[in-house]
Amino acid sequence: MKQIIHIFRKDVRHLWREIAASLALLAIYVWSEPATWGYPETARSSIAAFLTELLPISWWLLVVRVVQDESLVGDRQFWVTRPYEWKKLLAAKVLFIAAFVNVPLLIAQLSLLWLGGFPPTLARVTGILWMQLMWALVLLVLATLAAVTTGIGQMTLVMLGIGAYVALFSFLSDLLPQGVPRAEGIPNALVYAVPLAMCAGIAVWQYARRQTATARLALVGTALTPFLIGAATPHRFLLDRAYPEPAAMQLAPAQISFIPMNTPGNRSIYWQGTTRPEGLVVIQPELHVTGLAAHSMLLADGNRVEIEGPGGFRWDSGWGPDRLRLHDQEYFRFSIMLEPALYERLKDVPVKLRISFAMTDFDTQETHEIDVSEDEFPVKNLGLCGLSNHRWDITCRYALRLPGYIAATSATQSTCPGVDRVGSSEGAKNEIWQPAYESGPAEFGITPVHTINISMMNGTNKPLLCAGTPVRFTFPRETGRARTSVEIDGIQLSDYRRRDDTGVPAGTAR
Amino acid sequence: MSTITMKPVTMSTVIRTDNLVKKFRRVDALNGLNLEVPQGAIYALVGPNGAGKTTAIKILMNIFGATSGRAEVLGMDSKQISGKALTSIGYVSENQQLPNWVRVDAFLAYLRPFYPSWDRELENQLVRQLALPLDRKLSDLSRGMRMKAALASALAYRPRLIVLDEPFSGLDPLVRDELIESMLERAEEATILISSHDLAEIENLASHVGYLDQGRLRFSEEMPALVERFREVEITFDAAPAVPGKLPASWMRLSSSAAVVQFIESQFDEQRTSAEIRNLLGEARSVTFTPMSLRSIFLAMAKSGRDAA
Repeated sequence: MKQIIHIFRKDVRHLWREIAASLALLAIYVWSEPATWGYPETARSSIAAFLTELLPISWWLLVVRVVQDESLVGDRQFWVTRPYEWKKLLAAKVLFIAAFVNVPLLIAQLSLLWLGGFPPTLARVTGILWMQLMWALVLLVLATLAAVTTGIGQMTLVMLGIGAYVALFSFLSDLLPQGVPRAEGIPNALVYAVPLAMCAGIAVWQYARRQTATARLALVGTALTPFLIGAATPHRFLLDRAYPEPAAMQLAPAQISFIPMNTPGNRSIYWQGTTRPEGLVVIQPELHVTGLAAHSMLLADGNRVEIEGPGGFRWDSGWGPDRLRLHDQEYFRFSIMLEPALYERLKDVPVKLRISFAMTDFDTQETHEIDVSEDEFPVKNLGLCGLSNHRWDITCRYALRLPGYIAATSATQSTCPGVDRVGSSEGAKNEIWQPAYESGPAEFGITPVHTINISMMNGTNKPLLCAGTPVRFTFPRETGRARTSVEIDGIQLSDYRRRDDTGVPAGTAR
Repeated sequence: MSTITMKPVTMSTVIRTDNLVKKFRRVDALNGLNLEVPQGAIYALVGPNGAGKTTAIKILMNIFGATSGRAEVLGMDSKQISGKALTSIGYVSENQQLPNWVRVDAFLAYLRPFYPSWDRELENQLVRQLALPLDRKLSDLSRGMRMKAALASALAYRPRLIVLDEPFSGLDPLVRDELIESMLERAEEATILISSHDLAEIENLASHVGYLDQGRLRFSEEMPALVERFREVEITFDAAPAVPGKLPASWMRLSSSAAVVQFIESQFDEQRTSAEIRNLLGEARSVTFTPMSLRSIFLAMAKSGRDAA
């Protein structure tokens, strides 16, 4: 223990300037960040935005400087022939990082929670500790890289290389089969957990053995593990397990049926998707949702399209992610993207189309109706909200993570002067759905207090929200998951090809 | 000719290597080094540039590992030399990177707690003896002063083994003297391994010498014995003698001009060498045997090695 404290004190003496600068930046951040929680933008909020980028750099610098104060690379460092015990040296560095990055950040986060009007509760402290864990993992990666590089210059080059790697990873990930993210919690966690565990092992190895070439090679191998995990993930098995077919005698949460073209009747059709990816042909059969229970909402987390053509031809898109919200009695156009060659082959022959959905069922009974006021007002389960200057936005401040919600208001109930209240049809309702943040008890970042803008624009430039206007917040609660599908026999794809090239905004009625 | 006062050397060995090999990619730095340093010795490891001296020392200090072979230091496998084992070893190297941001007094104060046997009085004595400026940063010191600070920090805890890698490199004679004096004072209680090109200083200091060339130890012996067996031989004849093709292996760098023949005898024994001269070259008008300095011996060995290659 004595050696740990002794090395720690030496590092403090050596790096006091860097420590002071980092703490000063953090203090200024805590002072300026609350200015970002409302309108308009001020110099203070600009400072906070700038510091959001600068603070991680200051921590990076601290980590690199403290690790490389006893550099592990090379054979000329004076300390390698002195009675340092590697475990104590490592512990001294961990103590330094905890003392001058983690603890100040913890204090800053608790302060911001308090300033944001969110007193620390057990749940909020748990969220803060989760954020600390996430930052500790980031710092672990930085410390590992610092342990295998000779100085800040080389470390900077490595960081640039990591940037290139992240870009490459994103590109290559798109080429791998994707699956449905909500069904793949374990593989998604492993993509991070395995490399992080390997980083920890490499860092310990480097401190114990100072075999830099081996450590660097191991890091390159670590970078490959996300690809390996992605390639080895059994997407179909995981999806079948997470979204089972309804058991015998049990109804699916909804029935989806096909509406052939030219079917008469006045229907509002929801258009799914807005842009056509370059070079692909879009087929849009019309589907109808029925059988959804009252106070229920369906979310299609994933979909899969299978085509059977003449001569035994089969095409399978595989399961892919989706974010389609379905309501009872809703008509919508489902977009299928096909390569031009495939479309040309099948466009004029009758084919069998099977569209499958992996769906999550939500109960929407929990609502909270509030009358908007000029002053800040609380929204249960969400946070503290206020009207924007434009009067068609609500800006809400929340702690740690965003719950999923649906915000709805209606022009007929607006208390703003000049708003057209003629007609009380549901079509005058404005509804915004925000999915929940799903990766742990807190969003990653420096601040635990976030803002979100709920825009209730109604297509005119007239303000919709004034003091007294009611807004209903619904908080969907997940109740189950299942798969369902619709089969369409004898469909001719050319009849359902989307004609316009500009894309059609969601919600447009025919 | 220098006079060396021999200390009694016990039979135990402080450093032992067994067929030590170190390869760096295409370069074979050590080619089966077998070295023994007896306890209490001041052992000088000499050799030309690139001979493998620094490599051997770094393996002994576990700064990096060997490709194959074994090394033992203070009875311990050199791969185990770390942590507490280093409290018994003092190491100073010409190219070791010191923490240049720290003052001399803070540097010594920082190292003190690492060594249970640190002697404050000895530290103060060394500071006075080496005239170390305690209030200056290591980065502000001259090279010689930095070496003195490094030496003070390596001697203050009375290590059982002192390892010095080129400690005199680039230092003026006064600083060298100061360093040698400090080391000699410690020689009573420690074994010293020193690698150096500075043969004049080594000659006055070392009790043993090992000559390393191309990763192998050409010889390793006590200094008096080494100096004793090397002679420059000059033979003057009445007429130019016929020099036979086959000469004793101990005769090095033979040259002849007119009636004079010169060579280096590396296994000098007056009676035997004189007899060999008579037998091989005939009766001479005069024969002189001149003792050689360590530098001359080193040069003869180096040039002879180059000629053989």
